[in-house]
Amino acid sequence: MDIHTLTINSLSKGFREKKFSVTEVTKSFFGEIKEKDKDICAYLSLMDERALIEAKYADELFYENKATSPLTGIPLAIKDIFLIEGTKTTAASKMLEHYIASYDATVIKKLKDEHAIFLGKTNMDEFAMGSSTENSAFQITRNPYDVTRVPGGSSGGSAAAVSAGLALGALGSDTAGSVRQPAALCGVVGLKPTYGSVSRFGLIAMASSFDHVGPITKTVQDAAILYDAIKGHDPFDATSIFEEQLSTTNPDFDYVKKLVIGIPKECFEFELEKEVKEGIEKAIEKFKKLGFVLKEINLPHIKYSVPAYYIITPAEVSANLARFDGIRYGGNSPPKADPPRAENLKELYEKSRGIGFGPETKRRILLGTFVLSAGYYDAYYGKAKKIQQCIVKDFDKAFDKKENGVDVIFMPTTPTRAFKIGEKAEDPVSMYLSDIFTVPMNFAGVPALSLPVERYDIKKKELPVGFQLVGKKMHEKDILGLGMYYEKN
Amino acid sequence: MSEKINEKTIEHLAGLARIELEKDAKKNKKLLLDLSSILDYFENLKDVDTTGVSPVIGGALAKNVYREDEEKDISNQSLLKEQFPKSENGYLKTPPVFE
Repeated sequence: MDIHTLTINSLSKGFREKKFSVTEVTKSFFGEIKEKDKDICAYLSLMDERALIEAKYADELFYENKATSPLTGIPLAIKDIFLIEGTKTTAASKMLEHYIASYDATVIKKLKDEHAIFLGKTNMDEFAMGSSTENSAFQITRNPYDVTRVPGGSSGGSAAAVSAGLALGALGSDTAGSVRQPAALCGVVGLKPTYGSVSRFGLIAMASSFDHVGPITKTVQDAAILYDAIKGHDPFDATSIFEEQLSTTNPDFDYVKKLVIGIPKECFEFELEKEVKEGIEKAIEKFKKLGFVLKEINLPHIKYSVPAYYIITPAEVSANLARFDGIRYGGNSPPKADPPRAENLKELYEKSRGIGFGPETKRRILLGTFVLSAGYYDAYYGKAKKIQQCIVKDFDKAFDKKENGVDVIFMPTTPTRAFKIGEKAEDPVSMYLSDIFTVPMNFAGVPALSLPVERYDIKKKELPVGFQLVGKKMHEKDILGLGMYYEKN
Repeated sequence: MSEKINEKTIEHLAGLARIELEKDAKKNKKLLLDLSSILDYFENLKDVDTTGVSPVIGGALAKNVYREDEEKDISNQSLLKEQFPKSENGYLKTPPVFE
């Protein structure tokens, strides 16, 4: 068994044909992690003890032919922003360094019901704020294609783990591209579903109107398997969609072949790194060769999405992170140790938050407090929410049968390939711009899939390039189906 | 550099957000510079004419989500309580609220 060539799909088949046991595979993955993760630093904590108990149980299911899910026994990595009952959940922040989750996130519960195996919790930018995973309070994760470069972020640990073969799939969260951007930089697949299609209950909130949960996998087929398992209505998330969501794992390729693809002119007005441009052209050429109808479209407001995002998000961050007061989630002192010395409650808050939050988190909380303050509300927050509306309308127009009438929009995922560790860390605005092609879809709530232009050989150290397929709301089956068609041809 | 913000504004914002600022003047200078450059970057938005555009409110597909107001048991209170930095008889203990 070579664990590097495995996918969720092929491993599941292997289990069913009793080629190998879940326990044996789980042990191999922990062996691989032990050997390689000292260079990649994808994981913050491992769940080996629990994983082996779960693996044994999954083996019994296979033995009794009772395993019905394609995820039973599949080794997964979980971004350290999802609550798993009884395990440490830090959001890569000193603020939650000792926090033990007291319940399961809905997506975790769903994966437990399928008897998937959780290998451990992965590194990320603190509270999911960042595009390089350099904002983690604990460690810097490295890109498996070149360890001097970042894996992207904020779900950098999850993307690096899948890319390096240290898990077969992972969960990430995507507020501005935090699933898709690291997936692109690490040569793997990432999906941000429709807003409301996957529950966020038990995901530590950053900017609730833009937060999404999504899978990171090696193939589009695997992304569909994982997405199908985590989607669906949840009464604990008030934004959760009630409508039944159709299965995406077995697409009808006759339908897929008729999809009309729109290419926004504006994407090529941005400065793209030469290799990214070549990769994007290669992917477009491939769609042409496969006989797809490509149409030029306009998304005139997407260039304003990043500045508008950095007004709306900090505003929500300043409110969402107000709950971290140094008391309710365990504070930043070890359990049972004395909290920071404080004369009164206000001082305890200020001290705990001063020690607990890292520089980017503080920056965003202060920025959010500023843009919401009385004299500036209309100039910043009000204006940004109107620009969000312009972006929503851009997408509506592109998909509208009476206007452009495209089914799917093709876009680059990132303007550059993986950048060097430290390269953008000192300049927040240049870091923010790495999300330029991913933010607009969080504004519009439409689903978007990032997939690699081609299969990249990790041994050749050639840095991967990704592109996105964007669909209409609730049309995950279009982008996943098209992605699978691209992948197999 | 943006004139909208200075050291005093930052101190005020930090007070509102209940964050103790660093003692290191250099780090606070960097914070001021970063926030200023971000605010300058927002100036781009002035180029967009948004007259007559209504702001996005909500944005979710689901609307008017109601539920029954019913009593529910939380089974794992002990895990929650274990997180308290200080407690007494199962209650959370904090420093005094008032001087």
